[in-house]
Order: sequence, then structure tokens, then C-alpha cells
Amino acid sequence: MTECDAIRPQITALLDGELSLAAIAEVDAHVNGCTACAAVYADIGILKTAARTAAPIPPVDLWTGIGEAIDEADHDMLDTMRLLRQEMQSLREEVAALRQELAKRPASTVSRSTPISLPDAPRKSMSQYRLV
Amino acid sequence: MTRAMRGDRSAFAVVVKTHELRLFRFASRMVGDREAARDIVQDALIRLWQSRDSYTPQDAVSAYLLRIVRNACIDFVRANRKFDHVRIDDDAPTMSPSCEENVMAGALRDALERALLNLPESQRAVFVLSEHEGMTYQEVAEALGCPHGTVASRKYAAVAALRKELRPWLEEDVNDRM
Repeated sequence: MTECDAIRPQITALLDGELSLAAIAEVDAHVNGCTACAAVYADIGILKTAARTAAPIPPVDLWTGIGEAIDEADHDMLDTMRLLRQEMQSLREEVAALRQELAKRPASTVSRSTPISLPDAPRKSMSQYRLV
Repeated sequence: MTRAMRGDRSAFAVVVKTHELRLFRFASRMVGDREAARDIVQDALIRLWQSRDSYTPQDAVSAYLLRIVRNACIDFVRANRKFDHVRIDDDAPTMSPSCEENVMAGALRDALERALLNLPESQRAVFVLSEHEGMTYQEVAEALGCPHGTVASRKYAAVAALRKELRPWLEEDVNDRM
């Protein structure tokens, strides 16, 4: 690696104000005696000026759109919660109906090896969701 | 920010309004398209609100938000990559000594904006935050979540690539000064 190869990254850092005083002195000493690195120094200065004088980007209002979107999302979530509550209520009613139906049956004295077939209870759910 | 992430909508509004301009400027230069940048920043902040339950408190909110937007920009660029290289030599300056200095400076600025889009996203983010946003290497490192030394090396790589790509404009500028 030549001295120029080692100095050039330092030129960028120097112009960014990221070097210590000792390092600045070292880079300055090299640049003052090296035409190629002096050209690099000048080019980077021009690039920095071009970047810092770039056309300003006008302010934008992002909050209005974000606020509307999160309100809409929150409403959707509330709708979903309302539907889930309805579903829970209908399931509670189904379970209660099943329990009443089972309570009316005489207790079996025979042990079974297959599951008992439970009677169907009317399904009252209005929800598009099915809880499993 | 902590209040916002606990579901305080008005606190979230303050966070957004405080940071929206910097985030929008950053995204605009990362993707080279202001309409897309607007959508990217809005979507990123909406997602942040929706996933606020998983938020962990951050030391630097600004750096945290920039990191979110940087990631969203990278996703956008990768999903919408239409060309590998933005051509910038169509408007290369002729060596006319009659060119006004401010016209040349404007041409260089325009060329720089386009040349930025040819940099790898990692170098572009460092250059934009350092040069356009005036952040120190340490601030850039915090925003991008990488070491200070990585920022320095990416900045140098970005500057070297831009210097190579903008050679005609830089030579013209030097000639103007003679």
C-alpha cells in the first residue's frame, strides 16, 4: 500500500471533521506535497458542496395519512373484537344447551369404548369467524 | 416515544411530526422518488404503531426511526429494481468555457442526486446521512446499527465511487476555477 492509498480515506474523514489534530496535520503535510491527493482533496470538497447545497426537499405532512390509517386499523380491530365477543357468547350458549341435554339423559350403566354422540344444538352465531 | 408505544395516539402524533421531515428527506434520497418515499415512511410508521406491543425502549428515537425507514427503503429498492444502473452521462457537460458557474453547479448537483442511486444501499445511506443530514460518523453508526469504522470505510467507498462516476462534472468544475 502506498502512502497515498493510506491517506485518501483520511482525506474524506478530515473533510467530515472526524480526524484528530495530529491526524489532520499528517494529512495536510501529505496533501501539500502530493498533486494527486491534492486533486482528490479538491474533488471531495466539490462533492461535499454539491451535496450540501442540493435543492431542499419541501416539508410534507405525513401525520394526517398516518393518523387516518391507524384510526381505521383501530376501528377494524374493535369490529373484530366485537365479533369475537359475539362468537364467545354464542359458544357459551351452545355449551349450556349441551349440558342441559346431557343432564336430562339417564346415567349409563354400561362402559363405552366409543365416544358418546352428542346431540346437535342450534348454532346462533352471527360471526363470520369460526373458533376452533 | 414510550408513551406513544403504550398506545397514546397524541404522543405518537408528536413523534411523527418531530421526525417526519428528516425521515422523508432520507427516504427520498434513498429511493430517488418522493411519492414512493412518502408511502415508505408512512407505511413504516403505521407498522411501528401496529406492532407497538413489541417495542423495546430506545436510547435514541431518531436513530431508531431512521433504521426502520432505512430497512423499508432497502426492501422497496430490492422489490422495485427496474434497472441495474442509472445512466447519468446523457447530460454530461460539454467543455464549454461559456457555461455559467451556477449552471454547472446545478448540473453537478443533479448528477450527484442520480449518481447516488447507483451506490450500494449501505454506502448511499451513509453518504446521505453524513452529507445531506449533516450527521457525525457516530450518529450515523447509531442510526444504521453498525460500527464507527464501518461508517468511515463506507463513506470513503461512496465518495470514491461518486468521484469516479462524476469525473466529467468535477473536471469541468476545476476548469471553471482556472
